[in-house]
Amino acid sequence: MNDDVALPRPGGLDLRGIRILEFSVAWAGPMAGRWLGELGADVIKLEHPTSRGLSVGEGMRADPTWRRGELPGPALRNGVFPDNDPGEHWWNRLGYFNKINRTKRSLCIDLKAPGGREIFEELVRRSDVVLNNYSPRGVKSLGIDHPTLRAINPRIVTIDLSGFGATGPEYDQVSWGPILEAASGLADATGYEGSGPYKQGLAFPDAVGGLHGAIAILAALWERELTGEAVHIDVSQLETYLQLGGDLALVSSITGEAPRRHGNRSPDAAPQGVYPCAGEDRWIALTVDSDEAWSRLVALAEADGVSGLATEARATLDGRRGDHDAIDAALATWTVRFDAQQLMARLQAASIPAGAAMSNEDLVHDPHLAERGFLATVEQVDVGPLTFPGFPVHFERHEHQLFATPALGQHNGEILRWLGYDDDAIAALERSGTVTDTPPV
Amino acid sequence: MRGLTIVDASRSVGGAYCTRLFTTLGADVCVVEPPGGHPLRSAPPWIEVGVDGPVSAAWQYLAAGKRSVVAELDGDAFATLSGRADLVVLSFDGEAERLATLERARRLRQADPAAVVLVLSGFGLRGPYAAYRSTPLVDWAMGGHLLLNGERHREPIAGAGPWSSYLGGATATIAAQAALLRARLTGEGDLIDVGNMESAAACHQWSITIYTHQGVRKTRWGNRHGEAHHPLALYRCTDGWVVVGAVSRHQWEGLCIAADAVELLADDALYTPAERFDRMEEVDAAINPFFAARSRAEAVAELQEHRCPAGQVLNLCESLRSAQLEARAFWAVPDGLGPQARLAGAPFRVNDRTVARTAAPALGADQDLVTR
Repeated sequence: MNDDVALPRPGGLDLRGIRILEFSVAWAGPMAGRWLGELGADVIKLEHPTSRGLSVGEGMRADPTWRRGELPGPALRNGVFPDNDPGEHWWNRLGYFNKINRTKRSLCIDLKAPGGREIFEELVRRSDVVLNNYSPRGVKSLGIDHPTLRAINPRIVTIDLSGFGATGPEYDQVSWGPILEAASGLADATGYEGSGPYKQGLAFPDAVGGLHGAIAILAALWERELTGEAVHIDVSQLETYLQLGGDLALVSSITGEAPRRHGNRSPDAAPQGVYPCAGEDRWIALTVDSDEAWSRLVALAEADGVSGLATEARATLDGRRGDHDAIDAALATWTVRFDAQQLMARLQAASIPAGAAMSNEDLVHDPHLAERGFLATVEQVDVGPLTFPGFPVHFERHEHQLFATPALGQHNGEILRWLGYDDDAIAALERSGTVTDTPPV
Repeated sequence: MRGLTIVDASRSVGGAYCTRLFTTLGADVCVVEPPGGHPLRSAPPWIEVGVDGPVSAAWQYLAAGKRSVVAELDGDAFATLSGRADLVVLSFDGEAERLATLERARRLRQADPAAVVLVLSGFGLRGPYAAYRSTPLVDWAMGGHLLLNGERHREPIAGAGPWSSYLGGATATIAAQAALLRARLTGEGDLIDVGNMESAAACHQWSITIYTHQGVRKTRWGNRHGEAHHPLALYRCTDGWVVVGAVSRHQWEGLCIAADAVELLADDALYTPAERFDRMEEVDAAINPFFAARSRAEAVAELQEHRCPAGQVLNLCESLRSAQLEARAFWAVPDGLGPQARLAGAPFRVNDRTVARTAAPALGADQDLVTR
């Protein structure tokens, strides 16, 4: 553990005393850092002046014709700005960025500008972990590779979180989430029966990579506790994503055949599917996981006037699997009459596993998530109070911490003073462009 | 996580994945199974590896490297094993199991305040849905990922496995690791409650944010990526599919040049990624002929030559032969499943240490652990 607690921090928890330097963009790297911050680590996000993007650019103005609920026009859509308004400081109002970078502090620094490297090296000496999700080539170029950092701090933990890993013939390939899905073989395995492959609706490999990045850092900290020495971990997002398909890969390795796409069906439960409910694009997922559950489902449907569901053949799993299409058609005529949430409650009351296909809107208004305190409202510089998805773990004895994403360079002065720079030196660094709180025009 | 002793009394995919991760990190994991065996022993998909009929590939994968003891969770054997453990993993499904698990967790915490007790479930120990039952498909639905997958004119589809449940397992692993680090320093354990719904809801890209910030209800876009970029999508070639990710300006230019779609290149508005998304039919009509005339390998090679990110949509057999994964020695050969069998290796290696790959245990194979 790093014993240096001179730097003021919010109250820490399980990871109190751990300091993490984060170089990261997009989703996976920031997600790993955020997790550890919310578990109590002091995460300092080292941001280049241009790292919040130039594509959204200067001169953006709110669209007066936009109405809440509408997809913003193309020019502003990428930013996910609150009320579709980039405001004066657009770089501090990026919704996608502010969702994934909270509970960190920001030091906006150009490492290649005068004095930048010295600041960074002093931070490395005072830190436990350096996390990056840059390409292997970028890691070398910035001088944040493990051998370099270990020479500065012999107890440093470094983690390189890249798409394909730091070695191998494809190590430098660009790795958007869908590209990793495709390379894994798991997009090919996903789809409707008889259809082509399907990617996930969002960049699922980034979420999986971010979670495993956090796991890697914690494992490395444990290892360092045992050995007292520096630890390096090379994480390939592709390899973390393949963890999800370990069972399917084992089958394919033995049979030599790729998995067949099966939609929402299951070999060991029938019926299982996603059925329409009342309203536009409303659905319910349900699994009949036993013959008894089937009897209970039939009873519920018959109570609503549905007839013909129960046959002798359908009393068994094999019988229901053999007649799945007909069962699905009959069930759909029943489910479509009901609100998905209400039908879920009825099915669950009969001990039939069922869940409404939740939309983003449903999640925000869901009573279960509300009671568990999942959604978090934070006060953000240049934004004000806004609600974000929160922290999904509940400890009996400890709380997690959660505070707003920092404005760009919000903690420049605080961190530099802690490192020993006085006001004059900080002003000089600002004049030279080494540190700033504003992206270049 | 060498030196840790973990007792896994969970019955869920998420619990099994959590302790699999600990196994790959060097911890000693013992699965405590009911007399009839862990439910995953009979879960699909199945493989034929001997004369005794099919065995579960899910179990072989998730239980690899673990030990097995048969014991009732309220008996002395379980108390003995859990009393020696740094971490005890439990799970439940439905109200009766929830109440029993809560009581069991309290007993474990009282018996050993330094122990970390982790409870996984679909919805967590408390809250309006705490008594609900779950399955992997229900996890997909309730975490908000299901609705985003598939075609808009059809029902949404889940991924090809219980991946939403895996998010719960990975989330639980992080929480347990942090609690174990703290327990090592302070001697103070904890009770940790992780629900798959919440874990999956925490793994959205900007779905929840576009609703809280702009009131926009997110939907699904088939093999296109909503709502701010295009193409970040799948295209059909002569021998299968490829994925293309033309996100930045130079990537878009590379795609247009490779696909000989000069009319797109000349349209200034299309340099805005979201404009391309709004005009995806027009964009795709212009570039589809490029893909339709080429094999996957040809299309990817030409696109990469023009600095446009692209990749073949591999099936799992092709992924098993991937040069990248082979160079990194990712696939492991497990014991006892035949010479062709391959298991996914560890998700990462600590200091390049290779994790030994042993087969999943036979039921009760390590029964002597109770009396050791």
